[in-house]
Amino acid sequence: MTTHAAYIEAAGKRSWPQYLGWGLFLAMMAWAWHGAEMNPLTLYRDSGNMATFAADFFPPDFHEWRAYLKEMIVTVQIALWGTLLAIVCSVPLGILCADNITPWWIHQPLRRVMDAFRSINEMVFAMLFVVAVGLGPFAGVLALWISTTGVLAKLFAEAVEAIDPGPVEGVRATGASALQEVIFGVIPQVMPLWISYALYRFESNVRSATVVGMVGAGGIGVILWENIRAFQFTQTCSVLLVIIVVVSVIDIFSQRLRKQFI
Amino acid sequence: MTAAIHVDRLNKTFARKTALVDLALSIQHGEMVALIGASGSGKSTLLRHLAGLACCDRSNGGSVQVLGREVQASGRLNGKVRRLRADIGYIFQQFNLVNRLSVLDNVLLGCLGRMPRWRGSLGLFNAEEKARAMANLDRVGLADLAPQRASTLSGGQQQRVAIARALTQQAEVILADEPIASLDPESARKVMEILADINRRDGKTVVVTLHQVDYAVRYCPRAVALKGGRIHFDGNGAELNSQFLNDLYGADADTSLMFDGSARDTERPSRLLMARA
Repeated sequence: MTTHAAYIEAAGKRSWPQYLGWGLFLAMMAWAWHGAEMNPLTLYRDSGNMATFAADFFPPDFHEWRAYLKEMIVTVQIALWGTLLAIVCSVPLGILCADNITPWWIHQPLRRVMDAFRSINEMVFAMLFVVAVGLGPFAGVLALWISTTGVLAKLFAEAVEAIDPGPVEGVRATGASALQEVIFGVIPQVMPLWISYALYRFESNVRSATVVGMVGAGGIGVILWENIRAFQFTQTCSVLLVIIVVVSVIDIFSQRLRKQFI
Repeated sequence: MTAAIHVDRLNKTFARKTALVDLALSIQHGEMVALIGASGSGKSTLLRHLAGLACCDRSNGGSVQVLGREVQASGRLNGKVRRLRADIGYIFQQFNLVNRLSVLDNVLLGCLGRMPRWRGSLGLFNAEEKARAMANLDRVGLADLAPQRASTLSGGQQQRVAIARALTQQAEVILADEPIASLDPESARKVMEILADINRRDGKTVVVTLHQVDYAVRYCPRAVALKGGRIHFDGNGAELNSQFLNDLYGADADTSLMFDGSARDTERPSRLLMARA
């Protein structure tokens, strides 16, 4: 039994790299504290101001609810098309980015392009597309399309990399072409995950589409930004409530749908 | 007449290990051959080379010909290997069906090598192809399961679906890599019966790697034993005696590998069966 006790002690022992890891983590957070000018005291000191500010939001002013609802529908429409275009592009890109399907000189450069699509926020793309195609929802669709393609292609490729190679070889052994191996060996395996990822991105895109309007790319964000800039906080509040309700409803339905595919 | 399968000077080296050494083998049309040997003896590796699923070493000029056409030579696959594979049915130990497709769809995949690529890619199988797939499913006794998802079937049933897929391919040569290693004795017997029937009735060439020597002796007139990537024995399976098998499997010899009593029903001494329990 003494040996057991020794094993238990040894198993519970933390090694010095673990302590070092914690030390580094704490040092990094302390360093970031300064950079981010963290100052929790202001929360307490200015709490009176904030209470006044928050009170300005109530009661919510729903006089313009028809306009809000109309723009909210446009927002969902932006998300729908932005996501659909991204899915269409991500299917081939996801396959081409998978390292078990393509040689490195195809998937490595493509992955870097996808990284670039992903690393720039859709708000930035929205600003650029507003310049390119003018104010309006289409700029929002294009912005969501690009950034969502970056995300979905990566997720799709990861799903492809996790497949069982057996069925693919089974299809190969029948004399199928490379494309047919993908269609019959790969796609059926990744389909449930792909659908789940696509629906999740649609949920996220409805949220993103509510803000691209702030830079003029259509949807409810336009109204939101105008109200905030005009200090019309009761109306801002009602717009926020509309967003919360619609986004929540879509999230719930989409989650239900996603569960069907996992 | 050319041999159905002709292998010459085949060498294969994995990262550090030699799997096949100067291997030469000829199999005639209509033969049923068992490839036996311990794990790592190279039997599965050899089979994968026959179907062009693996490539041999480049340096030794080894070659594989199936039905008189070159599958690979000097470590390079024939550019038309995808078309050649249509004539080579391959059965895998793990069945390698596409789980989320129906049983019938899996069998229909056997048509891919013989139809126009565009039609195959769109999955537009015609009535004749569907009838052929159904007939082959019927032959392995699973016609009633056609609409089910492949994943819902038992291992033995899945392996029979895989055989139906190979039959639908209208392959002249059937290669089976450990087809019964993952199956219970009753399913194993069924699968071996079907393979033997394909050999007898359709005159197809069948090469099957087996772990259990008693199945080889029972179903295959010719047995080829591999050891360390070389052919150790090539001849009538009945000549395999236990002394030879001890030599073949070496110190790892496990009596259950050789005679687990499920294929040779009657004459096995009960002592061996008890030893397994």
